[in-house]
Amino acid sequence: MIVIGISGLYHDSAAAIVKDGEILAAAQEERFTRVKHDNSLPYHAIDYCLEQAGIKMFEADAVVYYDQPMLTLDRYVRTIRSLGTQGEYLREKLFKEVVPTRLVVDSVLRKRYGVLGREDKLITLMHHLSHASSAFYPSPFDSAALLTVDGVGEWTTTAIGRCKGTEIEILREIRFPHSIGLMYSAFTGFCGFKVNSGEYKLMGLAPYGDPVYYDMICEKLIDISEDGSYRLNMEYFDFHKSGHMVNEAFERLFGGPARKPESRITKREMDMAASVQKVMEEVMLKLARTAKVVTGEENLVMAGGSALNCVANGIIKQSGIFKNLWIQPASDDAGGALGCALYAYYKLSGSNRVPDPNDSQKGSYLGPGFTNEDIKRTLDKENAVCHQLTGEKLCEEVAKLLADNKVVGWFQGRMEFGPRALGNRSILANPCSENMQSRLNKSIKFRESFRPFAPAVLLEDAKEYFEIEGDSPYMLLVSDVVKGRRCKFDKGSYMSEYDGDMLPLINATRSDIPAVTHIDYSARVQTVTKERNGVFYELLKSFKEKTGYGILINTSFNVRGEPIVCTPEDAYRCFMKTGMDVLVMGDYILYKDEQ
Amino acid sequence: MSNNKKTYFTDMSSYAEEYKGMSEYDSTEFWDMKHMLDILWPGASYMKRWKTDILYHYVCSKGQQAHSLPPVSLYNYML
Repeated sequence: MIVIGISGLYHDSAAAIVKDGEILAAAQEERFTRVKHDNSLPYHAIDYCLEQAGIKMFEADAVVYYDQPMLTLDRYVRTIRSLGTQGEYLREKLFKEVVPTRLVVDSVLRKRYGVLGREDKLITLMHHLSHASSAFYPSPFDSAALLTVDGVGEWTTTAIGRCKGTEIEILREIRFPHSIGLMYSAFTGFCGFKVNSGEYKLMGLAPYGDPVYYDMICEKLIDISEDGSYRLNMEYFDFHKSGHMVNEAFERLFGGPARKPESRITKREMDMAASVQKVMEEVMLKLARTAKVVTGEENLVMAGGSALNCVANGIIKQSGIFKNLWIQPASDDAGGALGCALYAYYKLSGSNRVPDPNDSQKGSYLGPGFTNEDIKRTLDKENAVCHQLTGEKLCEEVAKLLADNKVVGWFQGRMEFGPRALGNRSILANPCSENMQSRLNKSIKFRESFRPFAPAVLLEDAKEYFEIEGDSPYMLLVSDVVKGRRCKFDKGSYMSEYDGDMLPLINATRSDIPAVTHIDYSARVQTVTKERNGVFYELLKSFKEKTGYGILINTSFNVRGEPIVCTPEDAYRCFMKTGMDVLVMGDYILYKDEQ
Repeated sequence: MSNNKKTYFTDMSSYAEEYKGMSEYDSTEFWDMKHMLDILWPGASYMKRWKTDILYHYVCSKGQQAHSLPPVSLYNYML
């Protein structure tokens, strides 16, 4: 049985295809259209998935959409009516954006594909059930508690449930407009970052600040119950009725207007980030405790955009509430495509589910892949100067270059599904270099200087560097650098002299792997094994042989504002317009100074 | 404002059974109504309000299937 899952028309559109329970392919639309967080119906991603399965749309056994349009309409019209004269913005949005698309999504898809599968019908699944399915079915567990948290899907913003075998049951939920995800997004927007994409920047900014607003947030903005459920004070928020996330009352509360994008980051934004992050962590931890209480399970699975908050995830993991934790790598709406496809497969086929002890996400390498022939064709077309090296020799050469502090674009195998590059569409560099963080941010990624980089580390060496239990293959957990590697570093003294220039703080040595040590000594770790990614593992081994360090900087292969590269053409273009020194694609290696 | 005894969780009972799992989506009926709404489009804002009311009654005509939570209770901003 072949099932296609589709997410789209909100943000991070994607498609996935499942055959007899196996995930054949999944990809975000943005990677094909080159429009970051593309929310259009994912035709390119659907076409890619169909091609991977070797079928046409009419041959699919089921086509599934990750949201219930009628419930979404229900939320819109009830919200508009309850707002009375203040409902104008939402009313416009309903008629311009929602009615012509989401409400007739089956018809729009039919226009493109003719028929929707063998039975020409569109199956729909609740938004949070789609997230839940993406978290549970690929997980290594036979049973688990469930936690999904995001901005909003239909009415739901937070859900707790229980999963066993092929059954998923949502037991508790919190409903719009009360959304911890939207509150976090409101702070993201207020601090000058893009809503629905800059949340991880706010998380990265948090350690620079102090949570001085925490008490005020808990007093004025959100009422958090002991069981983790919460309620927002809508006197300060506007997202339920306008194109703005917050209102003037919010501005007054934080002593002035929002930070303008790209303007200087002040201590206020740092403190706001630290404060709302603390609130997020508290809520997530309490929700996890409640999930434990109501299910009694030993395992927890998580999804939804807020499950990309790897700092909160790390705290849940360290709390020991659950013995095991598995988080969907494409936790945002993209993962909903995978979730709804898997749910429909198990329900329609009636098949049993046999969990894979290593999970069945296939390392999340579910996107397009390219052969050496494909790559060479591109390089010839671009008149690029390249050299061919294979296997061990390639890894040895690249390890040598990395040890010499060269920055390497690394393009191998199938593209990752989800927002993180996991060693197939990555930019790699030496984590021991003291100025590498600012160099990468400034001349390669062209992004804010404060943003930290993540490490990829050999699983067997992970404990030498980080206070980590178990593995973290999807870069979704934050761990601290072990105490023995830390250097004495006084954040307070740097901050007391802070004048808007973060470089002295960023360049201050915090450990012997400074480029991947955030200013609170934390790191967003990816553990690498031979089984999940053999070539990347060999490269890390070669780097270790040369330097003694089985660890590298691993950041996504893109520049600011662009999606991660998908094709060899994308990678070559990105290489040529940035300060990257070397590009490796398949067996081919390109040196910038030869181009 | 912390209130340890209170819970803000709700259960799934207010959703119609058909929405709790998979359901087939067919917008034919909605298209008919959308066509009617399109004839009225573009309209003055009172017209749009009227059209929203049509949609509201459409949702409710589904026999409170979609959701039976009274809308007003959602907007009791703080307790």
